[in-house]
Amino acid sequence: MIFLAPAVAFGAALAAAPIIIHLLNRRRYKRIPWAAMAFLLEAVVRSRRRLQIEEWLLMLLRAAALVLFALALARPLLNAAGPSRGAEAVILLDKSASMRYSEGAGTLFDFAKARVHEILSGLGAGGSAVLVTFDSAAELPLGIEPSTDLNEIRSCADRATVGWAGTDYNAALAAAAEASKGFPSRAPAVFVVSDFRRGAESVASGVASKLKGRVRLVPVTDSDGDDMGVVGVVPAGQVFTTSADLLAVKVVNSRRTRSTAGVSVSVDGLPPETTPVAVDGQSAANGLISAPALSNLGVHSIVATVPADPYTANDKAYGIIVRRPLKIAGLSAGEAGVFLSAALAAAPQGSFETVNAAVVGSREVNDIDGFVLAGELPTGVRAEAIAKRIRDGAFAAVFVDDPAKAKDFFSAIDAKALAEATAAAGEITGAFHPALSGAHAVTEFINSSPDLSLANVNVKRLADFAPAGEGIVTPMVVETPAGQKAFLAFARVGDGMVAVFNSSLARESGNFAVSPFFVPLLYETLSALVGDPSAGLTVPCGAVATVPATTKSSEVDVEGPEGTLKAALKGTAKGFVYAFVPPSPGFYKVAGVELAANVPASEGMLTLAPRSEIEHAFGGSAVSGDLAAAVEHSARGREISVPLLIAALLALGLEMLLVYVFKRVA
Amino acid sequence: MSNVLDPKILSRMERLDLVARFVVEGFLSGRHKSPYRGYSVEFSQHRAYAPGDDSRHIDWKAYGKTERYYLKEYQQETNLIAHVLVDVSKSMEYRNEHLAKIDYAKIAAASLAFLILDQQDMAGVYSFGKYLKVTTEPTGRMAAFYDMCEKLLSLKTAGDGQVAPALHQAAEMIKRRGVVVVISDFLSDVNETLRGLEHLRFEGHDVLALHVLDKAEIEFPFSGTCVFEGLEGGGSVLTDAPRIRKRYKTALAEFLERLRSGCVRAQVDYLRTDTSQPLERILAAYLISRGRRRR
Repeated sequence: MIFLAPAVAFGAALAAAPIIIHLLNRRRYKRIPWAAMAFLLEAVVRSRRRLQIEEWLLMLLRAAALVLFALALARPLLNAAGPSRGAEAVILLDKSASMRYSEGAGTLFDFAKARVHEILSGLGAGGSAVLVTFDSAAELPLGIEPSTDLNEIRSCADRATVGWAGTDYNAALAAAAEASKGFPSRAPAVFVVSDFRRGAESVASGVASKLKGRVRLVPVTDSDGDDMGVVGVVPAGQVFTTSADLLAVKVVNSRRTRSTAGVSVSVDGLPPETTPVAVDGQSAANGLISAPALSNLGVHSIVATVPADPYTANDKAYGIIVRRPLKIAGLSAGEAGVFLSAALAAAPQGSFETVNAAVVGSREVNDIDGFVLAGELPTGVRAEAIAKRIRDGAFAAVFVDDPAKAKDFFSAIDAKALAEATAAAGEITGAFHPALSGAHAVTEFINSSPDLSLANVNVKRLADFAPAGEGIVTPMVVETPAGQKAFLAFARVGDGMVAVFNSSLARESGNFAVSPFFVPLLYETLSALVGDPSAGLTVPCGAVATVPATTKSSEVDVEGPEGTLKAALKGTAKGFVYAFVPPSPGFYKVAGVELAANVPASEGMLTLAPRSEIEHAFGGSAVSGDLAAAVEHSARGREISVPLLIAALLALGLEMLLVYVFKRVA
Repeated sequence: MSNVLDPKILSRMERLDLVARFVVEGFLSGRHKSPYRGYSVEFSQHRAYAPGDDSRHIDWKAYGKTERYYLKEYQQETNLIAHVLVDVSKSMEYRNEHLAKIDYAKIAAASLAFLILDQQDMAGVYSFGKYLKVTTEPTGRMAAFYDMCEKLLSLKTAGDGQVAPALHQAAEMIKRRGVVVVISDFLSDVNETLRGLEHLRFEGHDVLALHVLDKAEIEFPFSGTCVFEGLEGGGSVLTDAPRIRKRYKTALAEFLERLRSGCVRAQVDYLRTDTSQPLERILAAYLISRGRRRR
């Protein structure tokens, strides 16, 4: 333990004050001639032991209070390095994508390196440190053992390059906790050099608490970002608004006020089209942008761009959208066939391919993406074959005519939750409004019905809420003003999903085409169940990307924007995959599969997280405004003046309390 | 009356005889007719005349009615003797806010003497430290009261004040039965003291123990660190007074209770007072003892 104000530590000599005062007090007494000495002597003899204990106790408390007070003023450092040992520190250097931000004089990462230099200089001769660079993962470029070669650490920090991945403070702090064990004190100061963007507050308090207040936060900038950017491109897939040529471009606005960015989208290398997207201050929003080329089946590559500005990390977003035929087997020649036709009529051109029901049960079943079942539901071997396919990832949409039969089918495919829900729903009969038709009619109908809303029939949302097990999504019953009802429920079965429908509509061949409720609903259901037939293949930088392995090679080449990488073969529960980590944004091609890598969305928000939130997130660690002071004080140990001061006050309070109690008892 | 007899006021009066007179007259003026006054010649009974009887005692009125000779007999007319013993040991010097215990005792003794003489009885005053000394021989003359006060005033405190030897000595020395009033703080061995009092009772005296303490001795009101120096030896004690108060008072209370109950057992009238208390309590206590003696 060392003292920042050692001279004051001599104040601990004040501990002698109570003793001196006590002795002086004993000399400053009143003399009283006394007659009844016998009783006085008896009282003194009887009380002597108690009085001695009390006096010692009070004197100890007074001395302790003075010592603690003097020590507090001397500002001692706990776990401090002694004169024979230099200061110790673990330095966490943020190299996530947001550190690329530049206001012209250099990037945040450049400033961060300068801060690392300052910290290393502050450690002084004999000091030791461990450097940890981190983004979504932590790295120890010089190993986990503390090094006293501070120049080497300085050089290593200079050589570090900023990445494109997201920020994971938990991984960095865990690495710091591990590295701390190698220091002689086992408790070095931990400096986190970062831009502390929004998301820092997601630090697990448990990780920070392991470091017991040794964390010092070193923000490399306190300026607000002034930028807009794109962080993702995905197909737009909202219910009733789905169109194959619509893209959702996620735009972030780091400014304080609502701003508009002109987002240029280029599909398949075609000339870009620019669309203005307005976003509220310090928030993000999806802009819907039309790209007609996406209507064609096949693999589409998209690049969304915003005008260049100081923050280049998220000026571009990349997307791969695969449009492929979807094979759906109709297992009822009657109503299901009509239903399916209606669904395909409402769906984007060429997305679905119907398969004759007769193929089910044959070897081709594995090529089936989904099943539409109605009327006579399959049993026995056919049901088992369908069940296996569903569990492997296919879907089934079931129109319930007879709840009892549906229950048997669901039991056969082991979807018990659905079986019970279907039985509970019962037969719903009635007639639907004849004046409405088509998806537009359904939208109008729902919008004009006070008891309904789009949210009630948002199939994707239902699918999102489907539990991971075989539990059922809360069955949804839609009731029209005329009292007609529709029933819809989802459940996950293995890797696949099953939806069940029932309604009060008269499901006759003649009116299926004008059944406004089910046609778009079916399409959306199929989209949700199959995992969106036009979903894009997009991953964030720094995260592991996998594609199914089609060969047995232990590794394959990955063609990316920075040249050729390697993807290693890995076994997973779903089979073998090739895995790699995209190092930077752009298009990648691996094993014949194209995918796009983007800057993680969390890196796009340039707003510095509020100081209080950061400090709370890091377990109450202080943000170090004055780095030199932080290094001088914190790198050498934790200052414990405040606890000592509190202890001194407690000792004084206890002394006063005991004096009162002793007098009351006496 | 209480205000008039307040020791604080009395202490400002210089002449003890006047103080005593003041106390007694103040005390008596506040009472109803005293049942103890005018008892000098009292008829007892008639007895048939026998040869040799003095003819002067023949009740001629009875003869006129009965034509027989009867003699009138009277109760023997004896002067009651009260012996007032004043403790002059060093412990009686103690004073805090009020009179010293010895001064209080002197006023009490003088007041008692005046009251006794005023009632045609005889009073003698004794002082005792370790041993008993006769200060004033018993006398029934009021004229001797002034001299008695002078001698009381001249008493000086001395000695360690063992009460018991003086009491035994008094029991041996005082032959004629009477009322013995012991004015003391009784700060000595309580068992020995009680034996001394019992000895006096054994000799046929009515005994009144006037226990005089200072209020501070009872309440122990001191604060802070004090050195208590024994008036009768016992060295000195340095202590934080408030923190031993409770135990001191407990020890004192035990002593007082033993003394009081011992007196009750020995049929000794016991009155505890402190120097802040009016003297009328003492005079009243004496009269009660005196009355018991007459019956």
